[in-house]
Amino acid sequence: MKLTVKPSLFICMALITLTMSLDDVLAQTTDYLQVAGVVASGRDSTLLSNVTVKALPDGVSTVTNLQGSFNLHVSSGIGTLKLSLLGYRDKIIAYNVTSDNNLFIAMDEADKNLDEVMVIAYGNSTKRFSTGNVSKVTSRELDMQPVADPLMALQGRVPGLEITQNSGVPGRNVNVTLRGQNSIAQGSNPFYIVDGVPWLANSLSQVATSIGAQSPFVSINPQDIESIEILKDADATSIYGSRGANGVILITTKKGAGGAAKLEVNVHHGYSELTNTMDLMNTAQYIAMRNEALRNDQITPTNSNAFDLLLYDRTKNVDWKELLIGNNPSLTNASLALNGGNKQTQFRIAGTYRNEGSVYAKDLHNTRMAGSFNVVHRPTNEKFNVSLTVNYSINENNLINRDLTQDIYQAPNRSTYGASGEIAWSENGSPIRANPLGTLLRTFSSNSDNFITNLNVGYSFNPSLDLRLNAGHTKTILNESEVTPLRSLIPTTRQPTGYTSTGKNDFNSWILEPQLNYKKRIDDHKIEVLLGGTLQSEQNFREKIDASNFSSESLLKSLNAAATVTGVSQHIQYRYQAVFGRINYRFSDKYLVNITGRRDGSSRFGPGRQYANFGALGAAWIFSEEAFFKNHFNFIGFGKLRGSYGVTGNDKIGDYQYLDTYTGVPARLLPYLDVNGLIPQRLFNPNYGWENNRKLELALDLGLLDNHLLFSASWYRNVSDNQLVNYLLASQTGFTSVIRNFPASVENTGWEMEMDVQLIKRTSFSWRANANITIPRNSLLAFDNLEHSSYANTYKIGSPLNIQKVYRYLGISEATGIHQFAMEEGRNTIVDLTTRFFGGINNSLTFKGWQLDMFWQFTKRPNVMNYQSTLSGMPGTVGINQPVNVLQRWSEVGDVTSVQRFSATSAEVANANYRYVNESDGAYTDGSFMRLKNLYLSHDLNFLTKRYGWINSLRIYVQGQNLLTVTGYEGHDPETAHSLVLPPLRTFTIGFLLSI
Amino acid sequence: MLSKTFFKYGFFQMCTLLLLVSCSDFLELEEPDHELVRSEVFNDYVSATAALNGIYGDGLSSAAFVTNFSIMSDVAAGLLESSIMNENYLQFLQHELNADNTIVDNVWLMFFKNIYRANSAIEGLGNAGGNLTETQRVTLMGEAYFVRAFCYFYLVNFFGEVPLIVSTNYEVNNLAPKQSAANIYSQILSDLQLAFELLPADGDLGNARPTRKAALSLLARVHLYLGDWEQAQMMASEVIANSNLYTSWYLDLFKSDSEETIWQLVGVDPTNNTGFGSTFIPISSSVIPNYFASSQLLIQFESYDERRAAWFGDNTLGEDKYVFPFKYRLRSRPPVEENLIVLRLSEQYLIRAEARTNMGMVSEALQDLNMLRKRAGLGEISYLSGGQLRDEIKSERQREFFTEWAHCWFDQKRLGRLCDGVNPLWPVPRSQLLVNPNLTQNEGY
Repeated sequence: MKLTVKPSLFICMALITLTMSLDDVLAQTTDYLQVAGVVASGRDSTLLSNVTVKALPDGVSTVTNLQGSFNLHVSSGIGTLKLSLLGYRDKIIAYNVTSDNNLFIAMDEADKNLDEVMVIAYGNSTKRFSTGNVSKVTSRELDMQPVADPLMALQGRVPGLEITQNSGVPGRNVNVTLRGQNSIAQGSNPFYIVDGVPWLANSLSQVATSIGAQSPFVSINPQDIESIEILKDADATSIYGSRGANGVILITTKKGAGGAAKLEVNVHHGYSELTNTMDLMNTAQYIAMRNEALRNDQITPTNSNAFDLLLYDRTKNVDWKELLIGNNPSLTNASLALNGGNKQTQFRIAGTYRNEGSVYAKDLHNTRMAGSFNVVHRPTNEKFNVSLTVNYSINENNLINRDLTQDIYQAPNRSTYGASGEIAWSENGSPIRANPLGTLLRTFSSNSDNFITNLNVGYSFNPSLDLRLNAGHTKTILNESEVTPLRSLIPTTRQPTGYTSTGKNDFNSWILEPQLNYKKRIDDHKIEVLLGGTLQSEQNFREKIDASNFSSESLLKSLNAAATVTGVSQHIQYRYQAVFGRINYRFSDKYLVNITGRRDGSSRFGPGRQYANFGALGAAWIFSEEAFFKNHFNFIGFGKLRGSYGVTGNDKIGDYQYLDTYTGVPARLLPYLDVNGLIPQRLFNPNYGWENNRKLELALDLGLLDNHLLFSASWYRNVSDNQLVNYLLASQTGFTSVIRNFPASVENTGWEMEMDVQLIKRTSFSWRANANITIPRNSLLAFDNLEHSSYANTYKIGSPLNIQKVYRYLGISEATGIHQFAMEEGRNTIVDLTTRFFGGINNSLTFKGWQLDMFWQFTKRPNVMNYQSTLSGMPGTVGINQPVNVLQRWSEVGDVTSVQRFSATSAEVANANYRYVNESDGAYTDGSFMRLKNLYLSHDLNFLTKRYGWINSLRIYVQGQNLLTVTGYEGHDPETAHSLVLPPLRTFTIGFLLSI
Repeated sequence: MLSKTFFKYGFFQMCTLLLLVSCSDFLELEEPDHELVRSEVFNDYVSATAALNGIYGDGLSSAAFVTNFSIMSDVAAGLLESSIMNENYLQFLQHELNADNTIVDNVWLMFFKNIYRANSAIEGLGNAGGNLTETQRVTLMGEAYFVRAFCYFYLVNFFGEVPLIVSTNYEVNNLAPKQSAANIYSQILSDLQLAFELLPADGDLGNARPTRKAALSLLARVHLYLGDWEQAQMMASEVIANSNLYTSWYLDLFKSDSEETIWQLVGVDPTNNTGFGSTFIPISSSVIPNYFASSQLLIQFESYDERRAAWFGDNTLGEDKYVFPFKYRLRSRPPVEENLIVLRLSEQYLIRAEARTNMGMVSEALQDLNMLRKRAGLGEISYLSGGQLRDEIKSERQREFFTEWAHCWFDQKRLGRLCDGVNPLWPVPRSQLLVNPNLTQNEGY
């Protein structure tokens, strides 16, 4: 099966070679004719040098000299000239050699926002002429933020893209949804592409689970990214067919720029600190709370129920928060980039080192080293071009596999270390079962190596027809190991020695995408046709080994010293192939139509179900180009109405689900007699097919006041049906569910608005502001027989997917001080956990050599878990400290408050606390917030540039991340919204950017 | 213009593209390395054996459900009490089971899960290709029939009427209604009969896999439960005739090399020998055991009964003494010495004694009972009336089989010794009534 690919590859290569040589034979030179002229700016008639002038259909080109003039030898008497210059809109005019020997051509300045090149699926576009919804974040925004994960830099900046940080621990996975959750049971991650190569959406972690899985994006260096494009609607995504249902995120790395060699050095250094954490009780407050709890419960303190009061030192005061997570970690980032080349060849070589510490009480950090290399070559005849990009990164993380934030609630008078400096495991005979300082003795390492190669070869047969081959390969290896020595465990543990877990995950993927592009412009008609194919293959080897019962405590890293070794290994393959096409038609730069289609095949489906068709239609009308608008509404510089409708699919389901197979019994089990058991893996259903996602979008783009104010608004409605769910079965079938397409549908609708205003633009001072907001709405439209399905307690028709069905909370009884619930109503209160709106506001000011950027992020989330419902014990429990917030508890009849009376053992209080509050709407509170996410201030040291000729530019800057949060949330942080999770940290750095 | 250019240059590229992406077998993956397609599982002796081992290891021996239903049955029979006050336990203790009880739900699921595995093996081995010898094929087939009968025996005794599932087709099975207990029993009898014919005479393979003797033993029990004394007596006699002497020391009885074992399940849990050992044996002598013997159980033992000393341990806390079951002597492993014993010889003597009593062969029955008494260090009983003998056998079964495989609960049910108002049947789990509208709830729930 593998073999069949290779012959066709050879045939492909052979054919390319053959057609190339044919073309060379066909190319002939004839007597030359001449076309010449001068190019100037349309605004102020200054002459423009360095303009590329290309004659079509000949394909010859030249550049204008300092006086703006050019002279071209052509073979055809009539044709067109294409002029291009960075910062100007391309100009195409017709020529006739007999009359046009001294042309005067005016070029219009490009609008930075409207005409900037934007990467789209298999090509480029501009905001002006795009028919789909594409947002772009550039290296400018990325460089201002001291974040490790490029996804984190997108937070709040892209309409429709909701990014939530799960934890402040460096390198953890973040939640990403683009225009809402489309699938009930299957993946909702967008499809990521790095330089044309599909990238991992899911973490490869197997061992690091207690602290949250490691984000695969730790391997992508933000400093090497040129731009990130987010494709949202059907028009932009349906060319990705079955992979595009949840939207597409394209990451493009920096490429060689050419010109004289330029070296850029960018270094910043700084530190992070805790912010938005609750204050905890000190010993006096803690003891008072405990005494009150025992009084309330009417129990007499004994050594077993009040060891903290009777056996612990009542005068000791340990600040566990400071001790465990109070470290201010440093952050260093240094990068070096060399750019250069000539007209034919450009290159970029770059390297980055980044080291970020942790808040934990030990020297633990995440280090990344990344190298990137790009070369672009285009021989003089310009028929042929090739670009090779290689990105390599090593990420080393030794953070322990536990978020110690959950351990800061130790009794403040508990011992840390014993008299002789060893970890205290008991105090006056009372055992300390889990001393978090023991956890710090475990060692953890998570090392990932990542290698992305992309080769892009293009050949132009003539100005109209290009052949292109995009070939890419990704290899990511993640090695994890966790060593738990005996001394990190309470001495009474029954383990004879410590234990070790190791995990290795080796991910390989390659992609081949031949594309044929035909472009033609005849008068006002411009047509572009793209035809292509995709072959993609992924292989994933996973291995996890647990070892225990070692011969010696010092051999915990040696598997052959372990008496018990158990393991799991998996080899997963995924293949994908497709043909796709796109026809883009533009009439007189006013009317645009874009048709895309794809036929897809994925190995995740059973025989006969592997293929499906997807497609979309997009159209736009640039009404500002109409004479009527030009004459009557000339304040509208740019106006476009666009819309699209299409179908995409979701193949983010597990692999091999259609097979009827047996697999080994869970790894923790020993063999039965000599042969390990095999058990049926699943009830198989060979007939399941794609989830379909139908996307509709309508949008308006406006440019007012000379395009100083750009506004765009989009409305979308995505309906995802044919949902693949785990359909509940009677257990008499031997299983409880089977995967099956189900007549259920999920709708995501929303409004996205974006505004960009150039408030002031003078040479010495400018102020630009932009803002975006997204108002999403998710809803379960239909679900057959929901009340009798396994999802009966999870979903409600007409409500979002992300809800909880709970009891109604009635507040705390003034008489008893205990939570009250409307139990008789049943779990019929709906708590909607979705975000109501979110977005960001950026202000960018420049004054002489100074630049200030300030970015605010905002989110309206009416329901997140409140701090009380995520604490590890109820206020008053023996040995568990509490935030000072709980001091507002009920203490006597008549008190009106939100904290129950203190109690250590009362079953009634405990039941209300543990069992019912979390199953009622009393567990939720408003988690809306507004955050000064990023502040960036820089200054260009121009005097140095003047004094030292070798300095191109030198800029110094300060950056701040998560500086200020405005919220009514009472717990740690409204984004993570959990009392046991490390909230996002505040970071300050200072740095310089030197270019020589 | 367009078509001309296209034909001139594009033709080969088009061919290339189509060639590249039209190789339709590109999507046909090799079978995964970590999963084996069912048809191949039963084409090879090792993997087919592994499929049966999956039932014994993952399905029956390691699963907490065996421990759970055995313990809860004894709680319901009044023989065990607990220090863990959870809702599941209280429902058994107070005979107020409800249809949401998670232990009941899990027992239903686990037996049907193993029935699926047995059905899958029967189907797979029925179509097996040439890589197994005929002996290997029929032996494994016999094991699958045996397992299916064993699972149905428990289902019919816990729940009464249950659906009769004999294939792997979930489209059909999902909506299958309950069948009468008589139908279930006739399936059990025919499966055991087949197992008896297909299984090897005895332990080439040891007793960790079912043998012909295991099939006979279970047949004897089924006939006893059905009141077919003649058959029960005959089969128990055959088992006894083919067994070693009845002399094991009590402390060795639950070890993996016990000679009285007819069928045992090898432990596959790396931390425990058996679920019973890890549940019953307290962590230390200073804690209240999870479960302890009720006075109703303890008074049944005469003071010189060796089993009283060998099969119980005690923890004294303050003035309270807690006597916990100590048949399995090992809480954790290593050492690896004990297996989960499913069928053992004592039961066959007691089956025969009961059958003979009911056939009027009182003195022969008394001989069988005295076999057990002698071994327990007690004097022989020389005379009992038929009625007294029935009572004595019932007590003897409690002394011998407390905590084991729900024996005592089933005895109370079949001998009509349940207290008034106690429902002899467990409820059909509510979750199942919701997904399969053709199921009906048992009376009283």
